[in-house]
Amino acid sequence: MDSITLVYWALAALMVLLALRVPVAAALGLVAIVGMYLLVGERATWGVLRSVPHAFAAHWSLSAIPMFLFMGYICFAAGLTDGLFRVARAWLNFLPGGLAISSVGGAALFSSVTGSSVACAAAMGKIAVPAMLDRGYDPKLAVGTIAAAGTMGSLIPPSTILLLYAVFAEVPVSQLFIGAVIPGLLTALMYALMILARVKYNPALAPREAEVDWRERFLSLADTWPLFLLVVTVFGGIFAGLFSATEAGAIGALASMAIGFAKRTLSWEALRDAGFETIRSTSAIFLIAVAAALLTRLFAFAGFPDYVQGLIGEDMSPLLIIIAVSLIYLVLGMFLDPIGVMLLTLPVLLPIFETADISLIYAGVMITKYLEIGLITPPVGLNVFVIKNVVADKVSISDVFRGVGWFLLADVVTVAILIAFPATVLWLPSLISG
Amino acid sequence: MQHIDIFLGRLGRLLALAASLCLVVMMLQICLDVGGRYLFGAPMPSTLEIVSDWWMPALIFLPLLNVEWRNENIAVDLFYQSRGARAQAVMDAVAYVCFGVFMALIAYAGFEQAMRAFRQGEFIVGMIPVITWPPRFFLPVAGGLTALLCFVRALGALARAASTQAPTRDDQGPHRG
Repeated sequence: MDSITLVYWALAALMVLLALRVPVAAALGLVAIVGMYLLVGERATWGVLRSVPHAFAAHWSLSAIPMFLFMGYICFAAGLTDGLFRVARAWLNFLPGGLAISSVGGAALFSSVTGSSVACAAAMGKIAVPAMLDRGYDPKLAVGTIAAAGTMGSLIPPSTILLLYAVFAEVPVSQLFIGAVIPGLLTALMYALMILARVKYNPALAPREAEVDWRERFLSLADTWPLFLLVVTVFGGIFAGLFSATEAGAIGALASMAIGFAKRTLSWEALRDAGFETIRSTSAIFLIAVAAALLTRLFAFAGFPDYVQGLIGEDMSPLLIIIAVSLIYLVLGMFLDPIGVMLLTLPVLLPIFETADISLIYAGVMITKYLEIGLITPPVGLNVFVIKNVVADKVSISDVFRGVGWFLLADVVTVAILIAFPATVLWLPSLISG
Repeated sequence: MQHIDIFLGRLGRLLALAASLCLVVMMLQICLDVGGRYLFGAPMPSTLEIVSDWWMPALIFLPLLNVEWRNENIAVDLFYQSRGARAQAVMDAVAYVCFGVFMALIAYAGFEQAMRAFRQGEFIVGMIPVITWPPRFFLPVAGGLTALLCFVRALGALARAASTQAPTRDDQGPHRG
């Protein structure tokens, strides 16, 4: 059996293990270990196993991930995120479908303190879905909004996915973060326009809310300005080159703790739970990443990246490559979790991007957007399951997927704009130095 | 079996507690480093080395046992839900064995590496020298215990498969600890 055939068998075995509900990390890792054993023998495999897991973990750049996760969990534990929904609601609920649009706005704001889409969907889901259902919103619209809006969590900085990408593609994380800002806002805008159009056409979807006066609007800001200040400081610091992503995350976590204690909304128990949640998420994320790193070693031993590059050929246009990548991610995203998909594909894709002269910043942001869409596509949409968990028996899983359908349509438009106008991604990074 | 499971649960929580303390210390150390650098022109010595070689392995590997005990490792539920109780129990057993074998392999490899580093008294030289061999034992210890937990639970799942009606692993977690 030649080495490429072995990789195909490995990928088939991976699918079987995943279908058997073997945890993603174990499936990736075992396939990698057996594959390497068959390909390069026991000594080399053992050498990789001895060095890769610890070397992957002991990494300064990746330390930004637990710091930003901690910041997000503290903000949630301290109730600072409820304030974000209140602000969005006060300012946006005059619109048709106001509560749904407010949820999108609230999720966009929350995305600026969390790096995880699943966390964003879970947190907003607990606040916004009950609020919409109470007001008599169409349940499919309510759950679809939050499942989709949650995907901004990994797009709008900070973002776990972008942090990992930065390390693997060896590009400055500040450039990636700032490059994802416009695509993130564009996503929110498209969702809002879509909701607006649907409710205009069918007002029964979303009963009108009572008007909020200006006094109340400004009062809502009085409650949340420390958080806004925090976000501006954290990202201003990164973009101005004052501190690294890890440092920004640590400062953000400490400052949100201070805000929580000052507002007396953060208890020691809640802080302890936020700590536990952070380390458990960190551990689960990195275990998958370590296992994916093992599998990419198998790819490298087998010469798989060169093989794929040979398949594609060197004359493929950048546009075709970006579209082809979207299709690959759409398919893989249906079955694997985002981090697994990204880490497995990067060793193959990065050389292709470089050969085709595609900016790695642009590619990183596009990949993140694709991965986020994968979070809401059937059959395995992590965000959909998260929302299903929040609403329990009130809405069926197929209704959540149906509710998400319209948002996928909005995403298609967003992606089309991002592909047609790469400047939407590349303009802001061009303004700051790496 | 039940006793081992409960004991490992407590131990896992203890390790997770240690990891969350490391998280807080790491956050404070980085903040002090930034503060010291900008306010006094005196950064905390060797912050980068300590964060990378001590706190990161602690955050990632020490919670392994706790995460697995709570069944919080990400898996794909595509075909699982529609199966009967016996098929689910068999799938659980397969999943536990796979996870356990994976953990055992990387834990054992990590142990060999950790012993080598221990014998050499491994350290790195930053602004101040930092000993780096002890955190190499985080993976072997937590990973080894996680493998043990998986094998214990695999036996439980097999027992469930033998007797038809019994709770699946969904009924146990994920919020027991």
